Amino acid sequence: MTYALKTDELTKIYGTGEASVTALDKITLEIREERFTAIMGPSGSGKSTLMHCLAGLDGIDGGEVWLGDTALSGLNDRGLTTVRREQVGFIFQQFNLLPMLTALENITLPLTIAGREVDREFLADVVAAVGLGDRLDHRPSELSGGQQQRVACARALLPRPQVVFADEPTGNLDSRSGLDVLRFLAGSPGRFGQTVVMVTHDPQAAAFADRVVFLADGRLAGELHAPTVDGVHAAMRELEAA
Amino acid sequence: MWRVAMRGLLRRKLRLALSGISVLLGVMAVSGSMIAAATLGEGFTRTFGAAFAGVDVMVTGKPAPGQQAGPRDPLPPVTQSTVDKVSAVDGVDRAFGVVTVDGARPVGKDGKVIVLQGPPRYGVDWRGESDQIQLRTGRGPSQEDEVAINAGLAEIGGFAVGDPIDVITSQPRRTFRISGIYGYRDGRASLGGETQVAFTPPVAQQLMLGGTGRYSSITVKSTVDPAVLKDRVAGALGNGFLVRTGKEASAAATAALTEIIDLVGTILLGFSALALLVGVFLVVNTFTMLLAQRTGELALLRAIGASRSQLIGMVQLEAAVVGLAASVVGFGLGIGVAALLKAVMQSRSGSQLPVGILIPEYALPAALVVGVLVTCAAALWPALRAAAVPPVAAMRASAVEAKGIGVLTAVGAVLSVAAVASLSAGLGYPGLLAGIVLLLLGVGLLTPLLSRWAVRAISWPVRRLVGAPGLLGERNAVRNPRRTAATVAMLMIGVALVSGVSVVTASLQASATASLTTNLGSDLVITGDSAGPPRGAGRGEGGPPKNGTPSFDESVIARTRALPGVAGAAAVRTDQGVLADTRQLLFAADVPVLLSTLGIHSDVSTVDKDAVLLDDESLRERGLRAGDTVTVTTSTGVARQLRVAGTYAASYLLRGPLLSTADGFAVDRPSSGYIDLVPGADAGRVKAEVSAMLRDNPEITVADSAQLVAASDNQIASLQTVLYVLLGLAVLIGVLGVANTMALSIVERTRELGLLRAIGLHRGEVLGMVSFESVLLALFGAALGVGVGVAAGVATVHAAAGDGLGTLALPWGTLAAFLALAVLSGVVAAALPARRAARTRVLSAVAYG
Repeated sequence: MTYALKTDELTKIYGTGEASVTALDKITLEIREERFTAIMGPSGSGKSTLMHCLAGLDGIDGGEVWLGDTALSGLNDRGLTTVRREQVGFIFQQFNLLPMLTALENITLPLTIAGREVDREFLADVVAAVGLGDRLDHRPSELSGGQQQRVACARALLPRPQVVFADEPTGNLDSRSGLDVLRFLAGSPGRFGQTVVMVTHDPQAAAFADRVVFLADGRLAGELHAPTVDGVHAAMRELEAA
Repeated sequence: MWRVAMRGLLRRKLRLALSGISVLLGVMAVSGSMIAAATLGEGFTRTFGAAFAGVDVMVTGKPAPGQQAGPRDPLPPVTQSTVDKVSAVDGVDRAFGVVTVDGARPVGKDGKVIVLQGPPRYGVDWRGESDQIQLRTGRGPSQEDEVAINAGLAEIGGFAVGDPIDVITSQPRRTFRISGIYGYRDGRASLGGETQVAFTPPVAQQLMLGGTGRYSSITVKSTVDPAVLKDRVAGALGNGFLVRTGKEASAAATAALTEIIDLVGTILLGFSALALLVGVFLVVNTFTMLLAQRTGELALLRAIGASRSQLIGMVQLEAAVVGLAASVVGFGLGIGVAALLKAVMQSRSGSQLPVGILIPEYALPAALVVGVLVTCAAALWPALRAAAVPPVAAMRASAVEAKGIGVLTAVGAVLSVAAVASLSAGLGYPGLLAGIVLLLLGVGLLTPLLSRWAVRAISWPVRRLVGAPGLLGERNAVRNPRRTAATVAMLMIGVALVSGVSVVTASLQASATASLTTNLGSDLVITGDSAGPPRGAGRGEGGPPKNGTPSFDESVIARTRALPGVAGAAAVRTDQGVLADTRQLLFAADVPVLLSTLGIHSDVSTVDKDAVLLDDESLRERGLRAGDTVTVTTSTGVARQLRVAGTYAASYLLRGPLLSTADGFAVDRPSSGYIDLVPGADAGRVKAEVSAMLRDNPEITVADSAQLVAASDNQIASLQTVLYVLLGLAVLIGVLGVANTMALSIVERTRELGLLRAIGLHRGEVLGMVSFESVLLALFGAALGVGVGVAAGVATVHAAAGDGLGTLALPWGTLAAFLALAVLSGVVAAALPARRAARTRVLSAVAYG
């Protein structure tokens, strides 16, 4: 069994001394390759912090994160940037695209930054999967919100990163556009062999995942495999009641 | 509203301060010029007024029409009989003739003539001590070979009583012994930096005025009201004399200096206008961007009930505070500028001005009003735009996107076409000026359109090398064409002016070189002027023989002719005279010898005493023809009716009326000489031999054409330097504009920067991206500026082709240097914004929005 992502007693503390808050408390977690994993939890549970630490957006204060073979602890800004450049893809809730680049340029931007060649065939596959064929020459301001987020999806996948992280990817979309995005993400492991980790608070979105990991007060609080909407609802209610 | 405005101001103080800098510089120049003009004017008036303190009425010869009654043109002398007439006028207590004439050139102990930059070198007659003049050591001159000198000259030359001193006047160099050194009542060594050599009266009359019994002026003392006495004296003397009160004479004496002060003031005012114009752009740009960033805030204010006029008022209030602060600081710096100018003028003229810094009462209010009005006017357009924000915009969190540029482009195209038409139509200087202004405006309006492809064209060759930062920087540079245009407009104007000046000065140098090397007509030139022989006389602005015209003995020419290798030699006498009511340098020579030596073609071979030969350009300009009669007046007031005998082709060396006699010239000795060599002769040897003949005459040198070229280049180069310094400041403001835009853009793009960092752009690459954008903007502005400047410069050279600018030269090296500097300034302008951009925190920029 191979893992795309592993943590070993990952700890994150904000502030110092008496004012310090332990945002993540010794989290040990393994995420397998070619799976779509959702991280869920109530507000303040630390799910966004967890994603930032996993993706190299934020430093860690204890334990270890393994992104593929790369250990993230002890990396400086330059090292973390390189990790993000080469092993991570991002989809954010909003403001995902650069307004002065066309859709195609946005999609290929990570490869441009890394100075890598574009795999034309793979590009065509991904673009076809997100359904943007005729909109590639448009600027973001000429695209709908759903189209913009699909461009962001294509951008995240194109470099074939170790893991694609999606942070509330449907939070700003209407339900139909949201469904398009979720279907694409859910199909990515099978279609492209892509590992996807999504942070969300929406049980309906989480139900698209192969596995849901629950977080509460910075600690792991259970998980569901092959979740249903009702199952996720029930688990969340339980956490919020606790 | 006041409190909201103040809060807003404090939060953005750094960026507002940046926009205020240009207003500050403009106000600095405005107030500096006002204060300097007042200070220098008053200082020089008091200094020179002292010389006329004991004079109630002064009588001099009358200047010919076209001459000035100032110190630049020597006035015709008066004689003893006139003194007697004045003495007999009712109410005159005492009248006496005096000699005070510029042109007594002392030779220093190093053998070189003592040269002053500006103040005169007077030769005067010693009339004993007075309430003004007091001997410090020694006694007055009593022998023909004795002189007293003023303490100013003693200090400059290191002279003491008993020392010998050589003085050159209208006569050749003569040696005197110093019998005494005098100063002035209030302890001053000189009145205004001038040197004085006091001879015994007959010697002064002979040397300075060319004969005994002559005076440069008559001083009248009286108890009668000077204005009344002036009319009486004038009535008694009749026409032909200039009668002035002491006050009037004093004002005329300062007139020449006032001209310089006015010129400095005009240059400063021109610069301040430029700085303020650029300041308008900067303020418009800053306020537009700041208000765009505050769209939500403004909409919120509207939503909770603020009216449009309240928003406009709020923005105007912010602008007024910025303008006021900039004006106050600018005014303070303006005082410094005036003090600096005063110090420069004092060291240049060697004088101490008896005033501190005079600040006219109107200066502070004027400076504040200018600064505040300019800032408020510039902020009005952004304010109106801001007020048009609909209240619902508060609910929409969208950035303001670029507006259309169709109307701007159309107007810009029309203006540019009009400019090109005006520049190429050959409408003379007014058409040229209008064309340049139209071109600046037109290109300014076309800039948004041009930016779309020009920036890409500039970035294309290097973009691939720079990678992703290059692509991103390029796209950022063109994403808002209007902002790009407003940003580079300031730089464009500055660079356009600098490039235009560089084209014109390069052409000036090339033209001078061309005329000096191709048709000088003379292999060697004997001249007392380091910049070559007197010229430019064709326009009536001839070089004034200010501190006396250096001259040499005619026998030098005869001896030169006898040297082996010399084909011919000719001597020319010059005098600042008047030709038909216009100041004009007059030439006198043995006409056939001169023309053949210079190889100048003429339609007549000899000119008799009652005729004059005119160069073809002067003839054409004045609409004269051969056979016409013109009035020619010399500097000593001798007026003659002369027949125009014919014409000759004007050249670098000779341009103006050519007479056959020097009757009435102030100096009856040659001031320049021309030597023609046989082909293959050793020019260096002839030059050395002629120089040896002139060894005793430290004012006169023998120059070959290479030396004349170098001297003329030098003159142009120093002019260029002054212009470059001023225009360089304008370019600096333009760079500030780029820095300003970059700083504001970085703030706007915080989240984009965060995204880029999140998906893997290193800090160094962010630095590179911002710097690349800044360099592109700077280079685009500079390229536009160079283009416009070269066009304007070429048009100027064409328009001035008739005025001695025959050769067009494009200083490619200089223009390329401007572009290289633009690259550098782009990097500098981006330094702080880029660092700030590189420090963008990924999480706060992207994760929580």
